[in-house]
Amino acid sequence: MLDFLLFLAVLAPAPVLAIAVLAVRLHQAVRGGGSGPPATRARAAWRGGTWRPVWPGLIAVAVGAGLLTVVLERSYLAMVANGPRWGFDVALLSLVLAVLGVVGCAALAALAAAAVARARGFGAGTVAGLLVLVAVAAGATSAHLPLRAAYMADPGSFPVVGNLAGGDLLAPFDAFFAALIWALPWPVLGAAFGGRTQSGGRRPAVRDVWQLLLDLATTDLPEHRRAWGAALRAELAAIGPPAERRGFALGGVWAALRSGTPHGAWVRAAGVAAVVAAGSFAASRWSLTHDRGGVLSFWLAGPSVLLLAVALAAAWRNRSFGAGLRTGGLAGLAALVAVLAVGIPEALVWAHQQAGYLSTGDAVPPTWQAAVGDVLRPEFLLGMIVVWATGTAGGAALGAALGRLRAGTPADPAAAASD
Amino acid sequence: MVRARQPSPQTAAVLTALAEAGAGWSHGYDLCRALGLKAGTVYPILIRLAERGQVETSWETGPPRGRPPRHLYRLTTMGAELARAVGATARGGHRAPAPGPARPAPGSA
Repeated sequence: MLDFLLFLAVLAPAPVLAIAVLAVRLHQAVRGGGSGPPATRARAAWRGGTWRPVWPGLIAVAVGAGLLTVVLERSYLAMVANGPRWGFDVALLSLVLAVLGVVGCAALAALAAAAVARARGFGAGTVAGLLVLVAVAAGATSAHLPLRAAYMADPGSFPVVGNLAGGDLLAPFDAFFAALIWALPWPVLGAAFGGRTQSGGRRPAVRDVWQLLLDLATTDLPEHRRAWGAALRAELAAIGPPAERRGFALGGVWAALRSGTPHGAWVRAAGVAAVVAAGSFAASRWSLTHDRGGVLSFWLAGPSVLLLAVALAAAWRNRSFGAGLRTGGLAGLAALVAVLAVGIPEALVWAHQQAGYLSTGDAVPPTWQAAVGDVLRPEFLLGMIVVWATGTAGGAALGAALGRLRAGTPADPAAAASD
Repeated sequence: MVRARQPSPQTAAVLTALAEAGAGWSHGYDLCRALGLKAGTVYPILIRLAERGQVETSWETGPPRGRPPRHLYRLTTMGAELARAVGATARGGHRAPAPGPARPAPGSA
């Protein structure tokens, strides 16, 4: 029960934040009324969110999602029966990969929303980001439904997988569609991130795609690097030839991506590793003493909450989503090392006491190699990474929003210098 | 004791270019052009040098209408000393900095 509540806490920040952002924007729209009645604004947002180059991009996303679904389904059906031979559960790994795919879709939708919002405003960005998710769902569904129909008509012609028991062979693909709901808040958050205005409520003019790219990469740098982002943007504004602009913008994006790790990220990562190691050890011994099954649920929920807190603190302090994400990512790597460092010797202890596998507590590993191999199962490790990434992203988004609420939208140092 | 690290060839090239500009200010893009290096290489170097107090930064005053002010860079006293040391090391037979082909930047002062 506690694990479930912790898991909910990890999932909650993004939707809560998106609802808050939408409520604030709607309130501002109703109070301000600057651009006409709500219906006119909604139409403008729809037009801005679908106009070129958005709709050709949406078609490309739908086609790509469909093709990818076909390839993944074929590969899955070819491999799913080999799980026992390979030593891991292919169906479970596919399920985790499906959720990871949803995380990727959320990132794509948020990025599209941020880019469109930067050029055309928050409403257009939100529409474009949501349409990206619709395009993914439409493309993947159109590829999946024929296979689903064939499976329902004649399940005997499909591979038989023992450990699925009465479960559905195509469950990982159904899980993808169900988990897409989790991605819904991210277009709203992406649009809020990208749709910021300059002083006086003006939206910065977008000259070309290279400026848009550099803007997005540099606008969220941590506090102590913000002036450098403004320097790169100001420099690009002084460059004329398109090829030179492209080269400079790409170099600037690379520089921004390399220079964003906030101060103290390594210390926080070491702290997270120590706490996760101590927590894993305590959970293992407590479960062993009280005969309560394995520690997989702790590995999923405990570090997720910790990473959420670390990402939230870093993003809040730096007023930067990217800073939270980087700090959380580094701490996540450290947590993974801690899980393995404690998990492997503890798995041996569990095996020695005939207590079962460390992860789930069920069955007794036949050999010590099997006990250790259980800790290294790809479906468990990837599952942890996916849940941890969810917590980290939610914490970073919440922290950045709270940080900006605390200190306002960061001013552009170049604009301040010209005033 | 803190061990003095030899700057990378790219860092040495940036230091040399800034030293040649003397007390004058340089633009980041012009440095990229003059050294034949990408912004993704030059800017992290400038950031590092500025954070170590070896490069001084400022914003351009009175930019043309419609364009934001550009960021300007020049060596501090500490940076000039480092540039001299790098130059002396290069002349003393160590591996010389390897800037790319020098190209004039359009519109640069």
